[in-house]
Amino acid sequence: MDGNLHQQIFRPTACVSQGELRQYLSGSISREGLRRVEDHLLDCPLCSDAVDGFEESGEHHSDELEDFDAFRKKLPLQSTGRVRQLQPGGYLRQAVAVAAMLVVGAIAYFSFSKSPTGPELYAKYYNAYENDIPVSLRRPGLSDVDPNFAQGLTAYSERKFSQANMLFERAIQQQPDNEAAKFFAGLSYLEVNQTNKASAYLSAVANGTGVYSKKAAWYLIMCDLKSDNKASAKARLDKFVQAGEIMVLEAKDLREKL
Amino acid sequence: MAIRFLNKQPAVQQLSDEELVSKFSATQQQTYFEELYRRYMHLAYGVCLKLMKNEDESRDVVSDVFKILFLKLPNADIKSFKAYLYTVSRNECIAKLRHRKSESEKLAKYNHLENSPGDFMENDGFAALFNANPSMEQAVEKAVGQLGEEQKLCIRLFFYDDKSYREIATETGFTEKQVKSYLQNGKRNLRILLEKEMRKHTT
Repeated sequence: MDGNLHQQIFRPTACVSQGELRQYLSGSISREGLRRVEDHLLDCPLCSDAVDGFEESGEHHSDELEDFDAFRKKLPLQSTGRVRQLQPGGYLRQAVAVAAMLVVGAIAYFSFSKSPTGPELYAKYYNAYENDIPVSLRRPGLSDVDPNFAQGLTAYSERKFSQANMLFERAIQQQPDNEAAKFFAGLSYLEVNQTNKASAYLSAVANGTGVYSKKAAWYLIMCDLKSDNKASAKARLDKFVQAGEIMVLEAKDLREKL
Repeated sequence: MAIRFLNKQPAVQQLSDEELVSKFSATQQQTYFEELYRRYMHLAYGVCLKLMKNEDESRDVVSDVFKILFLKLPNADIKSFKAYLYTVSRNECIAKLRHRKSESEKLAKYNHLENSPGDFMENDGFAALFNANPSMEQAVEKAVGQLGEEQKLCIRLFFYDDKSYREIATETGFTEKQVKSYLQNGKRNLRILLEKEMRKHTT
């Protein structure tokens, strides 16, 4: 053992590089490299889970992953940070291109200056929330599932929203703190165009800190769009984008449209 | 010439993760983001493989993860890039698993992971505290003695005898997964015991 014991145990180590990972997984890593990697895996869940992932899948290389040049094409912005050199001979061509773009832009502006309505944006961005929670998880901490809630979820899955609403209302009456029932009630009311009720339930959930709060915040925006209240949708969307975490790309895209 | 020398920027490869994040946020230049991508893309892919159990889907999720990072980094308050990447990767995998109807039962297993930052051990500050207090060496020996039998055995074989996971597994009869787990938990417990000891010294 080199150095003091505490230095040995608590020495800082860097994450596993792609080359080291390849050698580690193939068993061709040096003794010293093996020590370094195994020592680091004790401190770093990112590397530890990554190694587990490769080992469990039997995939022992990551060479076929997309390189940055390929990935770059998928990015919404193209700020490469590189300065493009203008060719003197191309000035005229560029001036003509700019003029042409201005003409096309002006035509497009006058033809399509009407911005999309809230319901149009709703139709584009709304995706029904899939009831993906198994019965055992619907009421965390409780052994028996409220039958109204369980039947409500079944009706929701079958897109029988009026029936689902009736059942969720009963479930909420029984259990006023049932966050999931309020969330699904909000979604069901949204589906049947009762946006005031949808908004009330979704707001209650979004203002809380439960597992559905962020999702409810997104569907509240959908609720505003459906009732063509774009100003409210925009205000909520600004907060939503700032908080981030879910629906990041869609939210940013929608904000640009609004 | 002197001014050019003074203005010389370090190569992106020499910058820390947090410096790269900071420079990317300030300039939006992809060069900085590209370096983060190069350092961590394979690790994010491995994390996704562990959760998704599918190579093609994992590739798609990794691509989404880095797109999210590209958009969020400029406004995010990030203390540790790798911890942030780890959280975003897991959350994206969980979101995808939620959309797989047949996978809904797996949620029970993953719900607790969402938004959890993981248990990253930053040793730099801890090691510095030790170096300022040489008498802690004995405390380390004592703390190792206080660990459970399996953890103590694995810690001794790994840190005292320089054995690998596989060699420890062969010697003890544990699986390699168990060895890694005993070492991770043993090291975490050691740290807790030593922090307590340090507090005694400083009060």
